Amino acid sequence: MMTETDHLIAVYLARVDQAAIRLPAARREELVNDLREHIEIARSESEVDSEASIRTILDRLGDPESIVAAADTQTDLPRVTVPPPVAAPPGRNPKTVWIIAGALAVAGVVVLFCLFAAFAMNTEISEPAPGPAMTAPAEPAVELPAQEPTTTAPSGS
Amino acid sequence: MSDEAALTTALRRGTIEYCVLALLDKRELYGVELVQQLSAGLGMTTSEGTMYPLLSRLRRNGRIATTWREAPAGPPRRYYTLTPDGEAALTHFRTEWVTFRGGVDRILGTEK
Repeated sequence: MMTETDHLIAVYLARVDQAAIRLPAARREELVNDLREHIEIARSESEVDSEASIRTILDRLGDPESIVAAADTQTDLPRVTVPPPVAAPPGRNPKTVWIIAGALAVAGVVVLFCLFAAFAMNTEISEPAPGPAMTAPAEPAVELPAQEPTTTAPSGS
Repeated sequence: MSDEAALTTALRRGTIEYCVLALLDKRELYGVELVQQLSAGLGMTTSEGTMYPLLSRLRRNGRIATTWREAPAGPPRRYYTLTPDGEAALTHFRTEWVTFRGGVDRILGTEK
């Protein structure tokens, strides 16, 4: 009789534990412990320690899957104030530092390249600027001799 | 049927934690007592277990606290108590709730 009720409880808690596999480890453990505690106390309070009374306690607790589903909805708030992940980064810190350093180095190179490119384009733009200025006076100089033949042509005709 | 269940769940979602705080405002309770009073009061007698994740979150958020007490019979009990933060949250909710309920009642025509 005792072993049968113990078995019922063990099976129920194993089902909760299995369903809670998607929860963070600490919360999963806490949930199973809370339910075990509830069952033990409810059992100690029930007038007869029978299989039927254990079944009633477990039925009232409800389906393990819906209990874990309720735990899912209760993770919303704590996610905002998750302190445990703050403790986790120290382990990954060296890697993270290198990743950040690498990203910064790449960004630096890109920025330098952009600056260089912009500077080069500026000089390219400013170079043609004097170009037309040089050719502007040069063109009339070329036209002038060209005008000379035209002026000489009418004069010739 | 499942629509009705979803409605009930949605209605409970924002209010049930304040029912926890209000029960603990009267006196400290251990898990089994708290969960049974809550489920009896809200007609959730087949899902007592779903309240433990809620209690866990309230504890993490500092609205309730727990203390172990020896029991005259059986294993020691973990009593849930209201913290000052929890008390403040309950006071705030009571005001919000009266306003909210009044607005809904006026729109639904369910005022008395």
